Amino acid sequence: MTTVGVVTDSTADLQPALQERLGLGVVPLIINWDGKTFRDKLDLSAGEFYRRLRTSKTLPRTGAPSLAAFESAFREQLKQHEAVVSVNLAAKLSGTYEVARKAAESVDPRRIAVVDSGSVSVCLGWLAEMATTLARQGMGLHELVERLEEARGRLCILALLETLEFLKRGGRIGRAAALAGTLLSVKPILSVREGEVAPVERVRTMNGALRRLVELVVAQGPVERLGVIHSDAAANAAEVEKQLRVRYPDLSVERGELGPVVGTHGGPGLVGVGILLAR
Amino acid sequence: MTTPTVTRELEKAHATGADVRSALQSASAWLSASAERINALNVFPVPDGDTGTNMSLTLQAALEGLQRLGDDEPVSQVARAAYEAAMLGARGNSGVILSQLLRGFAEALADSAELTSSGLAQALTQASEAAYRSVSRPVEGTILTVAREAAAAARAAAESGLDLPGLLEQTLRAANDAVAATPSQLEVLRKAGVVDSGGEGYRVIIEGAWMFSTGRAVDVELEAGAGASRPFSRALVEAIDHESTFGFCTEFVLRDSDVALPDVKTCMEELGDSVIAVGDRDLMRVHVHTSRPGQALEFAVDHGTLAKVKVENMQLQHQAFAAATREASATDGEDQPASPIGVIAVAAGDGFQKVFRSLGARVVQGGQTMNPSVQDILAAVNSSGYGELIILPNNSNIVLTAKHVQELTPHSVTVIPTETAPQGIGALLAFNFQADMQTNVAAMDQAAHGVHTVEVTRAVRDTDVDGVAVESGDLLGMYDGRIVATTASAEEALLSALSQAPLEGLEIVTIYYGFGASEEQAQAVAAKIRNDHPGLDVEVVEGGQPHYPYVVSLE
Repeated sequence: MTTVGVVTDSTADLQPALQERLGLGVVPLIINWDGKTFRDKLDLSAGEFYRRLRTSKTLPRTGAPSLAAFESAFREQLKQHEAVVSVNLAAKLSGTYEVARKAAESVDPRRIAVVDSGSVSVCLGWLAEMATTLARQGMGLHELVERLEEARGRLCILALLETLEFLKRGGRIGRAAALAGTLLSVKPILSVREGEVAPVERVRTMNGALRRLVELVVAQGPVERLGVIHSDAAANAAEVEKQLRVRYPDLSVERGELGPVVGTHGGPGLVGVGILLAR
Repeated sequence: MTTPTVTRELEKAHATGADVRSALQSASAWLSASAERINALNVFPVPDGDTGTNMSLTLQAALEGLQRLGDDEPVSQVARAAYEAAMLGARGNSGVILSQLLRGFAEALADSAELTSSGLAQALTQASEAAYRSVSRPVEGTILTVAREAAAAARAAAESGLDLPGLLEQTLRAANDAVAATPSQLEVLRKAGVVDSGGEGYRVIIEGAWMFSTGRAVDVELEAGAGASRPFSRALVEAIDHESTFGFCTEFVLRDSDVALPDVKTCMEELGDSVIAVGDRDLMRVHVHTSRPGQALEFAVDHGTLAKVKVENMQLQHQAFAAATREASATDGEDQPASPIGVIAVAAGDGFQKVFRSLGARVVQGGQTMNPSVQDILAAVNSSGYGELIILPNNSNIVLTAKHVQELTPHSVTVIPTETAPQGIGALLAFNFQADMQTNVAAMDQAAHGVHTVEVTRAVRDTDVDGVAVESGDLLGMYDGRIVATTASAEEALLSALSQAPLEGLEIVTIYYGFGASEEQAQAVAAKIRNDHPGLDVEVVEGGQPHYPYVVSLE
């Protein structure tokens, strides 16, 4: 038994096999669509979700998990561990972090630490994975939180979007609004760092944008970990992965599909690269 | 209808500041009269940045700058004020070079109360040197050569003891010869069968000054109210408009006034502020901000023939401006700018302006045949709110104007010398919101070079270009500025020019339709290109550009 147990939320994109092995507690966010409520990834598969999203006139609404959901996840972990660390979706992008903090306070504030990942998807997944690895090595809660906060500063997602429409309608566009409203058809590329969505570049064609995405990754400097993510854009993601493998022959480039909650905001057709910069 | 300023003879050995001003007025009138003829000295038979108009507007700006000077100002002050106003009013490459000629002129005379022959020779010499310095790669057979030869003749004349009229005559002779020789120095001129337009412009200025010095009247009809024959420069009016507290911007043209210009000014100043008045009794143009526009117009009716009238409620203009500004900032989404670097683009045509704005650039109006002044671009830079800026001139004749802005602003400004609107759009698309200035400039410059441009326009005169006979009215297809096709229809010209382009490796073709072309016609051409080249994306966008039915970007 390790000292510290780990909880995260459903916006962390982990390889399913890995999730089992790590023994993580994963709290699902909520999707409301046409009057029905779904638990992210559990009640709605990605494939089915994007098919519907492309044609639907109505947009799904996303919501943070309930207080009770976090409380029960924390209690569950405390049965087996002395303490719990919860790493969550960027506080600037979602109320999830706040709910987790409140749940920690009500369950046992001294034994539960909540960390704002400042990120989402594969990058959040990496922090959760890192937490379990360090916990298994016997690291205590305090030091573990420090390590996660250090790694947070090295996380970055660069994402190429098919359209900014979903980000705009979901209210998460931030400064990337500068990329919107062009009279020419362009593919916007934006970044997520420390919870901030920011504009990077616009590219005229999809092929050009895929190449540019790879160049922009390379321009970030030495990297420790790379993961390609997409929302119903497997072929484009495969192309980016292929180009990245050429640039980083010694790195294993991971691959994942965006879950419905993040996909609601990124929209279908997104290709992103999660980056953990080298120390 | 002779005017006293041009008939006064320069018999003295010394000229005063007032004489220099009169000589410049005479030169400006002569240049205005010659502007159309100089415009026609285009190397390419396409509507282009007009040298005659640009030089004439620049010299007029210089004269506007002399308005606030009294009659007793020393030569040094007159020369200095003319240079400073010309520097801001400079339009096009030739206008910028003219402003630099005036700069050297003013620097040489910085301590001179009066002008002597040797002083003028020295001033013309330093004028030539300043002009050479302002151009990164000086080319012979241009205005530079004419300035240098004229200065050499002036020095020789001064050494041989000639008086001012005699010196100007020798200078003019040398300028005549230098202009005539330009086709032998520049192959493009020889092929087009023209002399260099900028050189001819400078020669005309010298001629105008010489005419004044000999008392020879410049064609009086043209000279009458020469300053009043054109609208005030936008920059001058804008600069003044800002400060006013009065309600109505009132402008009128007055003919055959029984009151002299200074008295008209005094009367207008009693009614309001921001008074500008130019011209003479025969024809004067008056601008005033007043809460009683009726009284200003009544004054005009009482003292002459009221010609043109324009009265605008500035309060309403300000409201409209403020509303437009709010709208623009609302689309920015957030208060903080998306990047610490701003981009300013020069663009002609509604559609192109909208495209540039939609990509986040601030737009200065102007382009092919209407080059903006230094002041126009400077105002956009200084009011942008950015500390670092990139300027996209989007026309080869505006590059120098834009570069000149760098010296006049506290902001850090870099000019990427884009020569067409598609190049500018290509550069703007390479802008990275998170990169620093140096990285952006390098990427944008490279992107601009990667864009090829096809343009279609109507020939403005008969000529022979690279063995291709061109008749006025022909539709010309150009690829990267080179005429490659002459046809009867704009669409054929487009397709023919496009066939010259290496389409291998291209991904997207954007057709901007403008004057003389419809969206339907553009769509039809686009369909044909898509059909012939299935691998290409083809997009049709409204450019709204004057003179050019089609401007096409190849990326």
